[in-house]
Amino acid sequence: MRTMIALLLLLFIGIILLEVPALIKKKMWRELVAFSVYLLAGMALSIPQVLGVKLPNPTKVIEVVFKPISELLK
Amino acid sequence: MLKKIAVLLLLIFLTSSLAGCWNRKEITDMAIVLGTGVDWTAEGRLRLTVQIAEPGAFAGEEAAGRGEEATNWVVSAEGKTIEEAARNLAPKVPRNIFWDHCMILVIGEEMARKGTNLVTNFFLRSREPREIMWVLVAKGEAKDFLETYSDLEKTSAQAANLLTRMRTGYSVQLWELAEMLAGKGVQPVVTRVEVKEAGVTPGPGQEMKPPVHKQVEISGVGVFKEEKLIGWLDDYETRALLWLKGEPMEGVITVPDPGEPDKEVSITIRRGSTKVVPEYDGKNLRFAVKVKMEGDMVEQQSRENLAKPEMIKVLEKEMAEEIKKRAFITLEKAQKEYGVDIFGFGDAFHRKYKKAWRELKNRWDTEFAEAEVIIEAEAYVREIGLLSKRAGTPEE
Amino acid sequence: MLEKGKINSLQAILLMISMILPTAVLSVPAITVKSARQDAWLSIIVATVVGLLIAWLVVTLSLRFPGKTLFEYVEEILGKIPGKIVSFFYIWWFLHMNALVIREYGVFLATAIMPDTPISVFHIVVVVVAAYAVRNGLEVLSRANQLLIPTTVLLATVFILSTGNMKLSRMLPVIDTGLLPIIKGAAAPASWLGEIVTFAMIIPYLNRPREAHRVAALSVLLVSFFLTASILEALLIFGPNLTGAWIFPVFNAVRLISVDNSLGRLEIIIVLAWVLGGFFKVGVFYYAAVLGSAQWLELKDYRPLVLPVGIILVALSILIHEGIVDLFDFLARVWPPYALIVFEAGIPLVLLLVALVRGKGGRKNA
Repeated sequence: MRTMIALLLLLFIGIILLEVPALIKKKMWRELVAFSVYLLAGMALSIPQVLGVKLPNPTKVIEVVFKPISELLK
Repeated sequence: MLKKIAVLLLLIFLTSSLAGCWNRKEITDMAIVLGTGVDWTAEGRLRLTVQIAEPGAFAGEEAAGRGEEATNWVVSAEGKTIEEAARNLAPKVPRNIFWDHCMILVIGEEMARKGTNLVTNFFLRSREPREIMWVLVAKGEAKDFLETYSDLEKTSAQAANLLTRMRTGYSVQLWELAEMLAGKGVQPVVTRVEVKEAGVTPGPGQEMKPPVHKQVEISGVGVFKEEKLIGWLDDYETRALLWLKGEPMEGVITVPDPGEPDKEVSITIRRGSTKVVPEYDGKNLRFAVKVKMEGDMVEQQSRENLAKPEMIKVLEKEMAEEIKKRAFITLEKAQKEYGVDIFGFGDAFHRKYKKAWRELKNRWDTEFAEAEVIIEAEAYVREIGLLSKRAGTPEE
Repeated sequence: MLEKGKINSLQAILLMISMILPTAVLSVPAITVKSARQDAWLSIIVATVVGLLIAWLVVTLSLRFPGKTLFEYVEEILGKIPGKIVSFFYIWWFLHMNALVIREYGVFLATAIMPDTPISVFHIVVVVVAAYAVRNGLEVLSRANQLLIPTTVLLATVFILSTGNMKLSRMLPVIDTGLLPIIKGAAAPASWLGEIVTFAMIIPYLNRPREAHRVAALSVLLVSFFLTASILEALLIFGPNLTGAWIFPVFNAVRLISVDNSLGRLEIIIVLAWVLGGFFKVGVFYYAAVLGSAQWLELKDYRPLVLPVGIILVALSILIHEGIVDLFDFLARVWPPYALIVFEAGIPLVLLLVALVRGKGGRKNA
């Protein structure tokens, strides 16, 4: 698990190194903010999973709403 | 800088792909299963038997002199399920058991009476065994069957594979069995195999008669009611089963000679077709079965000249009678003795009367057993070989 | 404009086929045959009609706003704030659908070929390749996609080799248990064909937008054709009962092929086609999510978002389902109403109506 975390962090650092310098150079601040927000979302979804923390599953909500419609068709 | 990182990442990706996949298996680490069998033991457990190829014996025709080197190794283990038995097999087999080349699945008689789905589920569910392996029901134990030796082929599994593939009898593949089990319109039949004394291997300088080997033999089919074995049909009846099912037809029909009734004439079947027409008025169930068959006359014992159109007509009539007779015997047995629809009449009925089928399908076998079946046969003799008259017949 | 590439109509058709077909062939036959049984092909016809209606709807809507994608004209129709909210849901939908697609691939490869490989490895590999294509833009994605054409020859060969095991009588009787099971069976294929909604992201980049109607309709018809062929491949061999019992019936049907006992084990062709097609299916939705996000946030370039979205996709694809049973239950019972009612038919229909009422778009503005 420790290696997994290390690999994941390495991946994030790689992505940041790949994208950020160019964005700063071109002064694309709006893009930098969007990039950071998306990357943070990615981190929030991936790091807990590697650590074995159970995240709430967004599709469960969809299931509650739409399964009854399928049942209606029965 | 950027380029260097990209190159580094690419290198890592490329080298990791060189290592191959997780579950790679070298051929020297594999125990290749040629045939497998399952028995139901007296203690109520499953016994899995596998026939494993001895790779050295398959290395080349010259190297594998028969009798010098064993061609296979047969080993068994028990368990509550097939998977458990296979795991119990692992400590005895020093290699990974590899199912992909398994050609036959033999189900012991007791096992078949207990229920085939205890066996087939594992083989259908797992990824390695093929759906096209032949399913056989052994008279007696599957283990004995796999432990026999074949004179002509390298192993008994290969012998059985070739026998079923030639479709000398009724052959069924695993997926076909699964399909028959899944529907209500037909009950399964499975090839029956036996171990019988057959043939000798003569050698030079023998003082005594060479010993007779016990070898595999195909002998009719096992009849099932859903997943349970309830009885057998012999070779003769199996032939008619094929005709009634409309399976590819082969075989020989022997009828009395039109000229001299104490002598016989043999006709091989070339092709044929079967049409099952159900009729149902809400109460009475009737099936009109039309068998059409073409054959070649291959042997004649009498001196009569049969190469005349009117004689051929007589032969055709006799052939049709024989077909009807044999079909009727098998039908009677299925209706009266076993009470199961092994011919797929239910499927034919379903195709024509879809509403009535919904009502009848749950008691189809009783409906079938009471149904009236009219068999009609049409036969044609097309060829008569290279002779017109019997050779050596004195001039008249 | 964010995307400078242009693609021609043929490329668009091929891209739309790759976008719908791969997982449709994988998942739909079992789902549809389970309810419609031997009438599954009738379900596909019903689904095709729905698919064509959705295609007409989305193209009509898009053509009112030339040069604009879904995310751009939503705001014009509904106003800024409601438009942003709808856009957000579409971005979620593209991400969610893609995560499902990725999961289906992982599950298929793991159960059918490589059981010992961790499923996340497949997910990462698919996403990395797709990310590379998406970063290079639509033109590269569609050109690479053209490489798939030869696989259809392989698939046709496989189909022809299977005919030996087929029995036409397995399709009888027609309309066995009434119309309801057929309509029920049509829900899943309709929701797959409805993915043509994603075409709204591509219409502005067609070199001949006037052909958009024809492109969308042809794509739907071709996908239906291939889907019907693959359903029949399984159905004519296994019959309705056994086809409904397999998880990947087409895969099993191809496993049966054995020509003269020497040419066999052809399922790898199917796997090859599915894996290749899968990259493009993932790629299109990936592109839609990234381009949509950039337009939603009014960025000047979508490329910085490609890699973060890739991370989200892989993480989401692992998170959303626990196992294969959960996944296929979702695909059969939740996905069709969820996708069809909300994203494929519902919102586009509302958008078109509002646009008509408020007089937005149309030729006079063009």
